[in-house]
Amino acid sequence: MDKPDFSQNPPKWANRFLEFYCADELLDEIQGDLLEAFFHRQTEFGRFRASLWFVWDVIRFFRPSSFSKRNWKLNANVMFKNHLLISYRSFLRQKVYASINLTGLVVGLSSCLLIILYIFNETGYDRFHPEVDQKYRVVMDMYSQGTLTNKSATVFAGVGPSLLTDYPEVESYVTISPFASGVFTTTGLSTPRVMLNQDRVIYASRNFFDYFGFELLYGNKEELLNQPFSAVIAESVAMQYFGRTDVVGEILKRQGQEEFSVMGVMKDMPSNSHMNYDIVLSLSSFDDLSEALADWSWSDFYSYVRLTEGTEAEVFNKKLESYLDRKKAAVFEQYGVRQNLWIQPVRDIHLYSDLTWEMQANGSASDVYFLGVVAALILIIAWMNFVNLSTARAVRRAREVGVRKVLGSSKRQLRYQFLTEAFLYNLVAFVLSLGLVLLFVPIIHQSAGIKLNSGLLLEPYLLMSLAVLLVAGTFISGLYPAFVLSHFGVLRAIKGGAVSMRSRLREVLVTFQFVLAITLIFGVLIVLKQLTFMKERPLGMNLEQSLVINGARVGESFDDLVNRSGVVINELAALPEVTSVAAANMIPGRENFNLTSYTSRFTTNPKSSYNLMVSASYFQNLEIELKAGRHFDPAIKTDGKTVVLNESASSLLGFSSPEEAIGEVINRGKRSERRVIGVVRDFHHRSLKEAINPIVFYFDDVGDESAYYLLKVRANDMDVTMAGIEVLWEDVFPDNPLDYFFLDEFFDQQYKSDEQFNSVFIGFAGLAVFVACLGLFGLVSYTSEQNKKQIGIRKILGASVVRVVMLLAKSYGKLILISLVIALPVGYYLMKEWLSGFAYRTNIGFDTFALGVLIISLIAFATVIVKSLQAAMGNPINALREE
Amino acid sequence: MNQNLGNLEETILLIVAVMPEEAYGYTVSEEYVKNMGNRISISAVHTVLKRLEKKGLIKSEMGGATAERGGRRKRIFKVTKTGMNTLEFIQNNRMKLWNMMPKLNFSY
Repeated sequence: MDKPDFSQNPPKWANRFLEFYCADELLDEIQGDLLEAFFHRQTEFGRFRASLWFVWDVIRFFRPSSFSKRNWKLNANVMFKNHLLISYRSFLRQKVYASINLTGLVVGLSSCLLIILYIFNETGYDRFHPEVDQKYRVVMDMYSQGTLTNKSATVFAGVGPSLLTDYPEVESYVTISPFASGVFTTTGLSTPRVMLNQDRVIYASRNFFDYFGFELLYGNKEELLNQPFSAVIAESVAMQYFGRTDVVGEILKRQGQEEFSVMGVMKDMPSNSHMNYDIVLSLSSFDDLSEALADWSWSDFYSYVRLTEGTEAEVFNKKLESYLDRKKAAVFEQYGVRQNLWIQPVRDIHLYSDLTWEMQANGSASDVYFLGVVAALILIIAWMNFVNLSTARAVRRAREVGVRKVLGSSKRQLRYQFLTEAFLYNLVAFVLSLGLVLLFVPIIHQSAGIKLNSGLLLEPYLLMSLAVLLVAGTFISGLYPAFVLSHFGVLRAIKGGAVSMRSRLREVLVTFQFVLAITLIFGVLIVLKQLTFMKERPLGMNLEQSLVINGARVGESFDDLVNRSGVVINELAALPEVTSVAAANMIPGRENFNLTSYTSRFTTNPKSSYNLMVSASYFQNLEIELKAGRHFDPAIKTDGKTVVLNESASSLLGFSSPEEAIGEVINRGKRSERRVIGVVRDFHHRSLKEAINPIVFYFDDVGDESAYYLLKVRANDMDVTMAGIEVLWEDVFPDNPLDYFFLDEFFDQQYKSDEQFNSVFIGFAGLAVFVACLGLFGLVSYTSEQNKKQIGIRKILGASVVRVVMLLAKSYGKLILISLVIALPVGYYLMKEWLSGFAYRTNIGFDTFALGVLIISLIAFATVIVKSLQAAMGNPINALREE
Repeated sequence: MNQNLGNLEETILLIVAVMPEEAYGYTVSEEYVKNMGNRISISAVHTVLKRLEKKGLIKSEMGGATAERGGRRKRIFKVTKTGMNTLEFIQNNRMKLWNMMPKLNFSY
């Protein structure tokens, strides 16, 4: 085995790799030839090229024919059994380290598996639609004076039909209008009358169920939505109304007027779909359909197309770019605006689409990637632990290695042994993690509201990737220890203790682990800070004790509805528990679809602003501060022709101050002029994730548009208050259901997905830190045990406990300090990026840094000191008595 | 004589047969470069040699170790009787065909 000392050698690692995989009986010819070739080549071509060549040859020889065969078949079986036995024994002998090792792996793997499930879940949206790769949603960018003002998910009703005639690539289209909600009641003829508010209702064109893969339970697919006033309802809705699902032919009344006949019953739309509706009505029942189809400014419709196979979205988008220029040239010219259609794959809507007026809040691809990275990090930390602890334990195993070598074991056999051990650990960890994941999936569903499909774990592609992960884990965690352990010289190994304890690699690994852990802790702190910041920042209005009642929608006639609404509002205000009642067509926390362009004396270019219809008491009710002018006054007849602006709208329309805006006229189109009578302070109508939008308030005291009644109630017994409201409501609106909720809770629901994401992130970051500390704990315990005698001698010679602890803690403390120095800038940069996604963001202050440093120092030093204290406190006799 | 020999196999077999010094992986690949003009990797040579040995056309024995081989021994190959016969058989067949080639041909 002894090699002559050539000053120039081929790359050592390549040579070792060759020795590792090559069969013993082939090593002579293969390694010999390669070394000889290297020797000759380096004189001819130079060392560098010869080395490259050598490495390439080593890789070329890496094939089954070079691997040892006999070993696998005969001896290997016997040895394998022995390896298993020894692994088991060493596990028993060093329970603490073994369990630390295993716990780390299990925690790492289970978090990784859970996150993988989550990622599969998130990326698996809308896969169930037939030929989904050919299906796209048509959406629209809106420009004003050359700047992008809005990216809209909704387009014009005419888009679908006219694209179908104008482009041969378009095979079919579906148009959906989301404004179909209302009170749906049964006729009460065959069954007791059921009356419910239904919000998730759409109109859809007839081929909706061909286009989308929603499963139909009853009904004839060909004639579902062909006729006006046909409806397809979800299974759960059918159960609510009729108590059974086979309800084709039944009638549902909307607003007490229109009768829809149920033509089909569908399965509830699955959660992995970008839309979630309960009732689908035929588009032909939409009153103003013909008007909408002709109106190229009414953009309240979702439009989906199916393109011919092989059509490139990019190419088609190029064609669409100028499509509306042809349709609406005059309008574009006049107002200096532009609208630009483009298509997005239906498959990508959930993760990648974040437009205005989405059907529902979508997921975020960056969140998914983010969690994926966290999963990888946790796993890497766990594997590093294994490497660290196994090499640290090496000293204990050194004697075993020495004896094995004396008895004729080759290095390779030793490597197999340690790889087997690593494989066993990984395998056991895998099995345990799978069990844990199955256990945790329902718990996570309950606590965080995240639905994971553990059945995915049995999918072949996932099983394959798990197998790959297992093998990769074995090699990543086992290869280095196997090399280190098999490398001990026989004499030194048997003598024991002489093996050097300092290992640069181990230090680097610990540092790296802690860099990751600190970055994660830092991330958690910022994420928490941002969420608290968003929830606690003054909104510019007061939502506390605000009760919202869904406005009545059903009346004998429109006048009757308006009259009775007025009555209810007055009577509600008269209740002793209610301090104020207001009405509005939109409430804070809900997405406003009502957007129009305005001009003023100062801006001839139309500016887009949202509209809100409110009653006179709206501003006082929500305690929105008046900046200038006055509120609406029901006593003043002309107030129907006036508007109130918020500060954003006021400055958007060119007024230099709120005072200046008072008395000015703003135009909504040519004919409709409105005088500004007041300006209110900006308030957050949507979550803090979004910037404050300009809003123009219209006066609507009659209650024409009162979709919501806002009640301020006294903070006493809510049951009494609610009972009073119920009695009153039943009296005035027996034909309308009473739905109510608290406005502050409703507003906070906007943060639900953030909170969900945060809790997941915090959970996994915590696990990562836990695993890192586990590793640290194991290492420190090992070092202290290793240095037991040294500590004993030091103590006998008079060292104090503190000094001994310092001695032990110093080296690891240094590593943690280094990790802090590396991790903080990294964390700062990453979190800055993350925060930039919010319109209103907290600052990454010094306090966060300090807190992060404090937390990690506490955890890490506690880990180190607890263990080293134990070592330092021990009676030196116990340490020195052996031998 | 119904051995199917690939082109590379035949070449390597010839090289082993004609080499004056010891024929083993490295020297064969060097000889190949020298005579054929292009490179062949040592691993490819090993594969071919192993195949030829399996077909019984060459035989091998372990030779001595040298310092430049890192103390590793050589596997030295020699052509067997069958190997020689095969080579001759191929050569004879070729010659037969060559002899049938019209001597004077101006069509080139």
